[in-house]
Amino acid sequence: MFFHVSLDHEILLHPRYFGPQLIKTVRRMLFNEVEGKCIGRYGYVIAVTSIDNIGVGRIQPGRGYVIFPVKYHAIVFRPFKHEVVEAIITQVTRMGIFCKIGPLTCFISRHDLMIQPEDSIRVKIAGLQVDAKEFFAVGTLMDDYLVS
Amino acid sequence: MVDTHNPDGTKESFSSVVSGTVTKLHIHEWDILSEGSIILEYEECLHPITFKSLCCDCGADLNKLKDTMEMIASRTTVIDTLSDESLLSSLSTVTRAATTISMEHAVPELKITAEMAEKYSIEERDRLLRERKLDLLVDLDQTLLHTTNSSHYYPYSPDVIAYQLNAQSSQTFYTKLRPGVKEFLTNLLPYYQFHIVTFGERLYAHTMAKLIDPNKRFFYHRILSRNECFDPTRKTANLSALFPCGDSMVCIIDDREDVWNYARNLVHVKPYVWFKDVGDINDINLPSPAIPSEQLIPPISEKEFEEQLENSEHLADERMEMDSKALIERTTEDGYQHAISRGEKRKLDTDINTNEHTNQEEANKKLKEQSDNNDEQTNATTLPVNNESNITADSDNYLRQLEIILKRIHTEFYTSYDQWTQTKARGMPDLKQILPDIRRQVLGAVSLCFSHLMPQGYPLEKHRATILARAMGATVTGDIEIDDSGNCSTTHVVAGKRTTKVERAFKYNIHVVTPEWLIDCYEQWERKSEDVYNLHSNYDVKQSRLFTKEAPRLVSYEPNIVNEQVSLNRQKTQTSPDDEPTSSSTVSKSAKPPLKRPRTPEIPPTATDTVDDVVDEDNQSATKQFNFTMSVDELSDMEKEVNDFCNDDEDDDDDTETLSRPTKQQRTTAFTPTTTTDNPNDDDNYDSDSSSSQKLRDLILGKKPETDSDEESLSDDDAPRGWKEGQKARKKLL
Repeated sequence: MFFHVSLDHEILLHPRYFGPQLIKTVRRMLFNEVEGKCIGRYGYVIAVTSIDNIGVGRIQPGRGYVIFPVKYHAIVFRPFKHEVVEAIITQVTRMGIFCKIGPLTCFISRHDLMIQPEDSIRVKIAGLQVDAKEFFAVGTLMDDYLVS
Repeated sequence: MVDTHNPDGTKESFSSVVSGTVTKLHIHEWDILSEGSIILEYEECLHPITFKSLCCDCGADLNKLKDTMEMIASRTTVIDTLSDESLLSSLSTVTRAATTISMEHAVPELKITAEMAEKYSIEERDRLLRERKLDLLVDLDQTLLHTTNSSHYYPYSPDVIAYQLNAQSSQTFYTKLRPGVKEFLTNLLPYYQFHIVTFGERLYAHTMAKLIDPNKRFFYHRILSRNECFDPTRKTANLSALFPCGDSMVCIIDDREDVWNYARNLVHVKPYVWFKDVGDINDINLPSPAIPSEQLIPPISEKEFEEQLENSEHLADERMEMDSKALIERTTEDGYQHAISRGEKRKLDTDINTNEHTNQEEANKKLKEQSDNNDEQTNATTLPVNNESNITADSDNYLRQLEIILKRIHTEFYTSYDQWTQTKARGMPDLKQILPDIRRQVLGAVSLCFSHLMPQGYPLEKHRATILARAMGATVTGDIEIDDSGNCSTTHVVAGKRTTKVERAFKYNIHVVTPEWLIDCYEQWERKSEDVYNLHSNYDVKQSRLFTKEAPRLVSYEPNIVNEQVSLNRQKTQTSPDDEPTSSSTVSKSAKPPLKRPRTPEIPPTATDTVDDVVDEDNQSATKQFNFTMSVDELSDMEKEVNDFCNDDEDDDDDTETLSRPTKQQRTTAFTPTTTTDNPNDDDNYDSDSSSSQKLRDLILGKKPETDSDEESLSDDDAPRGWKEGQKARKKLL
């Protein structure tokens, strides 16, 4: 499911960026560091829609680095158990099929389908697991209106 | 979920803590339950497939499930509600088969139960048998391709592909595919199902697979990389997971025998070396952390070996003086020519014999001739000593030979399989049986003896030459065998020099060949024509591939590997701060000539012990062990180089110190006290590559400031001699 949420992020900046382009650099780094990444309970950050506030940068004692607290709005993708999603098949094995739901990898166990990579199917997420920096899902095709 | 109506008319619901499917309901609406009555029977998911810790059938998180189970188990004593109890009673009876086997090459997280794995692998085996295919595990580095990370690679070739593995690091890799890789795979596709099994990183392995096989025709997803390897030094560990039904239909091609534990279904491939300055960048021995000290055999120095050889020669010489006629033959060129012509005559005779013996060879005759012609070229590319000039044409055509070998293995397997399906007498044919059998036919009719290949008193059984010859079915004897009637049963003398034995061989009209003959036979699985390998008077046995070490190695700069090494070095320096940091960092980083490792299992010749003693001691391990240590000369050589580099102006006192102090490398890699006493100034053997190694070292020292790690771990007081000068020199370079 997609959400539009307000999030915080801290940007650690090397002193070499201090200059007229400073804020521009901070904005650029935010996009680099946040988009496409997975944030624990919010899921995958799909796109930053607006940067609301860039706080005062604090110089780190003894290092010279500066930390900018940034508040921004972003569209996030958070998969849920029992959610029905569209997926693209990436790999077919003896044990099941692997598919991608956007950035999320999903495995669907044993199936009797004529299917091949790059096909799209409709899957119900049967189980979810949050790893350190990633979600993993297990899908099922055993429900109404699934598969295609 | 069970709803109950309490006597006072209120509703209360109990929810089950376990998940499963109800198979039979024992109660009906408005039934009144008494304590202990059965409510329902249910079937729990057996979780036959798990991905990470998720069950792929029911979607349950097994880690969480385990926690709740434990929680319930601890709660049982307190709560005695009706529904809970009946549910719990059935809980304990469910025994679940653990998912242990990860059958998918590239996704080790996906695990299935042993039963299922067996089912799948039986299906897979039946499919292969139907298609009349076999499994072929293919190594990448130095088997199908050669990769370097040095942008100053040589020789140049237009086929070298440059690429970067990930966007973050700017490290560029250069890969040269072995000539004919695609033809090789295409031709073998009807016979084999390929799997990649490599010690490269996952990304690297997949990039290489894409390079060789862009349409995923050959490997599909059957790629096993270092990330999925269970054992960092052996590839054998993964076999049982990939093939739970046994590896009777698995054939392996690799340039390294040790990573497969010298498996019997392994075809040892001639290593493909294109970039002269690197070996296998994914070599397991580069960081060399995991070798237990018991495995290490006290190293024999090259010099020692030479001395031993000389001794045996002296003995031979003494004997030779008695035989003055032979002496003449030995020293004059005429005698030599004479010998050659005789050898040729002999060769014609045996050629007829071999043709009668092996029908297979006849079938491959044409291709064989082709490869024979190219043989000399092949030798030229693999022996770096021989080609100083920049040869840019790649004449390596080993894959064609390998294709013939593999096709033959395939034919043999299915011939015996067809026989087996008719009789079903014994077990199914096993490649581990068939492969050595085929190899034994190579030199089946040959009886060998060696001359000037091993020091006196060296146990014959342990020498690499003997092992190779026996693997090819040849009979190996200590001396030329002459039976009572005066006939000579020995057919070949493999010699490194013209000794008395060689002279006697000429007398009996026996082939006298160089060790290269033996090696080429071993690598190409056929009896090579002997006259190409006749022993010349200027033949240098020291440069034989039987003894020469691999191409010098360059440490990979892949981030994870380097990290491993840096931490390793750091550990080393921390534990022994009095050691020389330059030797730990620069040597293991620049790593060229010192890390050359003999391929041969060189077990020290024990002059005092009797041969039998040694054999008993090491009998099992002899064939299964590699010598990972460096010889004294190599150690002293690299010590010297490091010192020369570090202290241009401090030479005086250092030389004496070098002699008395064991170096860091000696301590960490040799593990045996035998290495400390030898003369460090003997580096004659490295004349050929010292210039290139110097260049490389400069390059690396100049560019990589990673020695910082050592700097950090050392206080100024502890900095050993030459360290500061070394830094100065480094700054100059920078």
